[in-house]
Amino acid sequence: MGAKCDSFIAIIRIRGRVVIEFIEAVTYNTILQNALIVGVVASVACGIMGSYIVARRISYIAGGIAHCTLGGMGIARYLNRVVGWSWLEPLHGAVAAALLAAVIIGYVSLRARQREDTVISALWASGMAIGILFIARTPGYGEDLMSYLFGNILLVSTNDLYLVIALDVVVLALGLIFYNRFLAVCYDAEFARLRGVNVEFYYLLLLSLVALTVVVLVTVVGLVLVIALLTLPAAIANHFVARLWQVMLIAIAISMGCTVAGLAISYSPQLPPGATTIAICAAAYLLTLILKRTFQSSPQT
Amino acid sequence: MTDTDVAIKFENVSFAYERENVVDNASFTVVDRDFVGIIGPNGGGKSTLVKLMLGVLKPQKGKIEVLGHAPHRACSRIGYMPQHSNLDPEFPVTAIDVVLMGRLGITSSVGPYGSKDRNAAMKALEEVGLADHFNRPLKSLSGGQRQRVLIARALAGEPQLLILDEPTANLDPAVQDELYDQLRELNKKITVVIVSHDVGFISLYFKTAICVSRQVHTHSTHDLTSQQVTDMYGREVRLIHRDHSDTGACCD
Repeated sequence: MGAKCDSFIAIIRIRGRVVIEFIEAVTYNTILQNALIVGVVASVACGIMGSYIVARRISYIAGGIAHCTLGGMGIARYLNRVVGWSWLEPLHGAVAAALLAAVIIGYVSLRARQREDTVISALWASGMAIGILFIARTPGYGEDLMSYLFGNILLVSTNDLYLVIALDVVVLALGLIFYNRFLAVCYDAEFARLRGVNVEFYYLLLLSLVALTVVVLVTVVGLVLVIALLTLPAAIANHFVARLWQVMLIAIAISMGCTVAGLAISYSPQLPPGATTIAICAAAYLLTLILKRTFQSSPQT
Repeated sequence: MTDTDVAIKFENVSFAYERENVVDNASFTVVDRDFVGIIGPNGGGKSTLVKLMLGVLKPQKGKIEVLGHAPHRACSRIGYMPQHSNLDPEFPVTAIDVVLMGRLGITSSVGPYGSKDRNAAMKALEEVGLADHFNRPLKSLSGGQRQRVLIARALAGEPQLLILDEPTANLDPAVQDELYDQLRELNKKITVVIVSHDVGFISLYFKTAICVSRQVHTHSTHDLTSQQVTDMYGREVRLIHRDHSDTGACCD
């Protein structure tokens, strides 16, 4: 018992030291400061759009959009390094690819519902294939590919930071201005159309905002892990509150908590921050389910 | 009869999804403040008729006027309640959130709902007897309460015409009666059109029946005989009239 206690205290000490080291590092390390800003800023878009995605049950669409960004990043990186378009950053390619994918998927899901999953799967895979082909034809380090797939928040450049902030502002502003329309279109599109709402426009706009959010989050956790960061905080929040805007606020807070904790915990042991963030997110979700079950069953016993 | 007394007017309307007409040369009028039941067998074209009224579908032939205009221009003055089975019960909304959606098309197209919208939504919830539950999550309400939330949503736009698609599906008989009483109260001010499968009880509640099985016929529910309903459904159907007396000699 005593030994157990000692080891537990030791773990807390180590954890404590990790966090203290992280806080010290933040004060002088600009890379870490950028990473923190990106994490916090990205969480805002993530919480808002993630709540729409979970409520409307379109995480599969978000997944398709996320994987298509690899095609855009691959092409942009090729044009940058091989053709010499030095102004074109991979993240610009990601924005273009994500928006294109959002419009195609949105159009198909409005016009030909029964083919929706086929089209998403096809885009999902071909977007990745195009990306890998262009990356293979581009001289440079394969590490870039790893950071696209699994994110490397510590490699975020100052230019990337500005782009992320700009995208975040767009998502936040449109997400708030059209909140009522998005809510109505997500809940009951048929009814919204009868009330004179241009359902097609708002649905495509919503998916475009999802696309921008995906790009923002690709810089944080990479495109493979995006889905988890988009859906898990909102899924947790859904257990505690009943209105979409409340879900959004809690999802933003959870997402901030997870990204900051992911950075802090991964810093001194040099773990991959993206994967650490997602692991924390998943643990929080699991904990919520367990707590929920315990609390729900306790009044009956 | 002046045009302002007419809520819905169909003139020689035909509609086909593919080749065969689902609605065949339908002509009828629904007068203001009528209480109409649209009845008929499954696949007979009830929902198609409603979609034509709402302007969701356009007829290949004929002319439709709703509240004196083409259907798509009358939309904002129609309160519509779809079958609620299509909606996600886990969606994170409260009763008032859903009812406020009925204000779209009236409220400004950007930003939050105003106090006028909130007042209208609360009034609509009062009318269906759910004012106390306005802040309850939709998923915590019973099936009957959820149905009434959707009726309140249809009422929130202060419509002149209320169209309800199967409002009593999945409801207990006691709740059904209560709902019909509330609708009868609303009918004092506005026209009410209900798609219903409860053929037996149409004459208890409705003033007019629109019988749809490709052909469309209207009857005053007083004059509707069991024989006519039986012909439409292709089987015997018992009719109960407002005075609860059986009219069909053919039924037994």
